[in-house]
Amino acid sequence: MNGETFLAELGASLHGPRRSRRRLIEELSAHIEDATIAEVRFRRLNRREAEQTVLDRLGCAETIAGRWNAHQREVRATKHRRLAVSAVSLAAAAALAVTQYAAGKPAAPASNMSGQNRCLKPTSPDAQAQPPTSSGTGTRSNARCH
Amino acid sequence: VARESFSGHLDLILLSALAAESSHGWGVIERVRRASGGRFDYPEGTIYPALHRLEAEGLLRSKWSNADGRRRRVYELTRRGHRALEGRKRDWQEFARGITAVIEQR
Repeated sequence: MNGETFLAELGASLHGPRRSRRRLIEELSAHIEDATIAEVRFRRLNRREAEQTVLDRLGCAETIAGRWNAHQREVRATKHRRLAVSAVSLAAAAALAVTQYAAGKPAAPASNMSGQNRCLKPTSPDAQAQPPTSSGTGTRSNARCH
Repeated sequence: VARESFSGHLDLILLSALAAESSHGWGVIERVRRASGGRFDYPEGTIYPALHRLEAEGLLRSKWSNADGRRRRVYELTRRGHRALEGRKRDWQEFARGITAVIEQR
């Protein structure tokens, strides 16, 4: 087996995004080239023997693909978990909003005013003209929510 | 040293090899070989998936570099990687002290 065959075999066994797979193959290709040159230079092997030595040390394509694919499975599982948590949060928020809407309350205050303060606001100019009572109940009776 | 022992400490070994100087995959392998006196027996290709994983965890970052007319992916430790390395070193030293104490007891 030569370097090209090895890389083709490995490429066919890899899972995950195409860009990441391509990067891994490029890195391994550079590794084979660098290591082969070093073997030729320092151990005085011919190029073919040097490449074979490098491939033997690199390990079989199946082992490398196994490690890579295990990592890709973890990445995918993490993504799915995050997606599931987001979906559940969104569903809970939507359910809360629907419940509050059905109960006649706004889902979230539109301004900094509390719901009670808004209810105390007079609804008509007549209501504004009424003199305040000592207990304040007159004003409250004109509130929209009660 | 058995492959299982090496694999179990792979992250610590890679982070340590990259702590002093950024390097590409083959450079990391050479550095580990020199520093360990060739004691580790492992398939060198498995280093690359580990480097990708450490990068995905935010402990390494990498970029392409052109040298001698060839493209190589160069890795370096992030700040988080340096912190992780310190933590893992402490864990390892503690573990090694414990093992040493047990095997040397009389």
